[in-house]
Amino acid sequence: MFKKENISTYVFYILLITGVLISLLPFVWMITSSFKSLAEISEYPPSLIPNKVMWNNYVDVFDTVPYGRNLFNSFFVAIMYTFVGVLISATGGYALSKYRDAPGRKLFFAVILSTMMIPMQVLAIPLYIMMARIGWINSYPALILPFAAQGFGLFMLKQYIDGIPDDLIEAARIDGCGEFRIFFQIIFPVIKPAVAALGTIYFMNNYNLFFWPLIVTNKSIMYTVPVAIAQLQGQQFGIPLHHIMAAATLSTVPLIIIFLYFQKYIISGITMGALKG
Amino acid sequence: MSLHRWGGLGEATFTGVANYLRIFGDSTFHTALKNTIFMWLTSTPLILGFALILAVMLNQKKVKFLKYFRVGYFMPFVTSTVVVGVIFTILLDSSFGLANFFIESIGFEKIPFLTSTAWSKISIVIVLTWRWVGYNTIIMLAGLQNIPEALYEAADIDGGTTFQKFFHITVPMMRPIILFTFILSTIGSFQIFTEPYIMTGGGPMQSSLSVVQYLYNSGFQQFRMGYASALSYVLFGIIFVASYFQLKIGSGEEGI
Repeated sequence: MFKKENISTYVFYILLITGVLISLLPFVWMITSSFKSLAEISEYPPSLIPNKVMWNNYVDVFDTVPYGRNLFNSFFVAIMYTFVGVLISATGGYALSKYRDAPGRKLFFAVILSTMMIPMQVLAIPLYIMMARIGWINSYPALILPFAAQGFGLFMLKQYIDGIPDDLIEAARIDGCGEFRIFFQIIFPVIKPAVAALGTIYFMNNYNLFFWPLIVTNKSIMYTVPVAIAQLQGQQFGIPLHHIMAAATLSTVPLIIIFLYFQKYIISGITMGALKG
Repeated sequence: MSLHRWGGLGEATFTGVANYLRIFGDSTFHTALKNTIFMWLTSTPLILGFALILAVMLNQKKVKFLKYFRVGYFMPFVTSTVVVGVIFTILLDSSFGLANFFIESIGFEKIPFLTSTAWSKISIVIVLTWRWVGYNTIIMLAGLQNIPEALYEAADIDGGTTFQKFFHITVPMMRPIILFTFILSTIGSFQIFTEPYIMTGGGPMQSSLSVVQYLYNSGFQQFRMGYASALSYVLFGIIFVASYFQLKIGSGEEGI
């Protein structure tokens, strides 16, 4: 005999676990499909475990597209983007927070906040035209720089820097510290947790970015991973589903590892924005 | 640029507001706008509803393995939309998809998720819901943890039921967070691009074409840069007005 209390606990956990399974099943399906032959993926009824494990999918995908280069592009661009983006947000946040006498500070802050309202898709066409004019189509700078200054990041770090007492900075100034030294040796160490949170969010956003790289690259060696996968999917005849699943797995696994490692920061970064915003 | 006709190469011709006038009479734009509004109005309540329920469940003090649940629910958000798109292309396939296997095994007929005009939009909504519930759950969970425990204790003393506590304490206290996630979802909905681009190409017969995909097609497939610029401004206008009114309504109600 179950007590009433017990039954409701069971139902509670069954619901929660079902939800997690729904969240995770597509990933399991991606991974098992990546080891199936093309014929087996389109078999009905579908099989969970591949009949014959096709390790070859992981080799062949590098022959059909320059996938090694695509993976490199994605990592390189995301790392550079994170670095530049965090530096802009931190220095900008510091300036907005601590240089209170600067003329037009409020106006700057209002303009920066209002850019948070403008989605990337709205800016894509004018930015594409700019990139074309200066000859940056198919280049790393075009993939890294245009969206490196994010109002969201600036705002987040400004809020954080607001909490640092001015006395600390004044004391350093009296001791003859230069502005750059103040920033890197006093401000930066204090805001490290916020920087880590912002950095991981920047990295993931950029690594997963699709719309902008799709527009600004048209050579397969300059594609980032999402564009490369989309191009495989977009083929007219015989979509190579087995290669797509292998490519998708290869691009997702590193991201999941990074997520599991940094999840504390990601979750704190996202909730920080929500509770203060 | 939105006041010009320009093919991407050569000179742009000044055409005044002609592009804007054309948008208002453009039936494809109307279809894309209607589709986008449909996806927004169906996915947002689903996402926020599920997220709130899940967050309340996870906020129970007795929940074990909270950390693992949180990671599990958050996983869909971590993955790129392109990867999500290709996975669901095979999961929802009309002939061999896993979803249809389940549907058939409980005795229903297979559903042409991605190949029928009636289902293509709904399939996009399913994928959006799957991807965004976890993210919103995390935000709402953080909000729930800020509600003072004393409120619930007082309700317990007065003999309040679980449902009463949910509707009279949780929902009103969560209003700012719900508003925040609602605005985020709205802005996000009007940017939908990757899911239809990957899964259906906007079809069949434009039944899942989104505004952003139409913008992309105009600019980068038909090379009507001027027209696409004008579409960008219209899109921005829509997002701006939508979030402005939500903020107004949200803060207005708070005053009452």
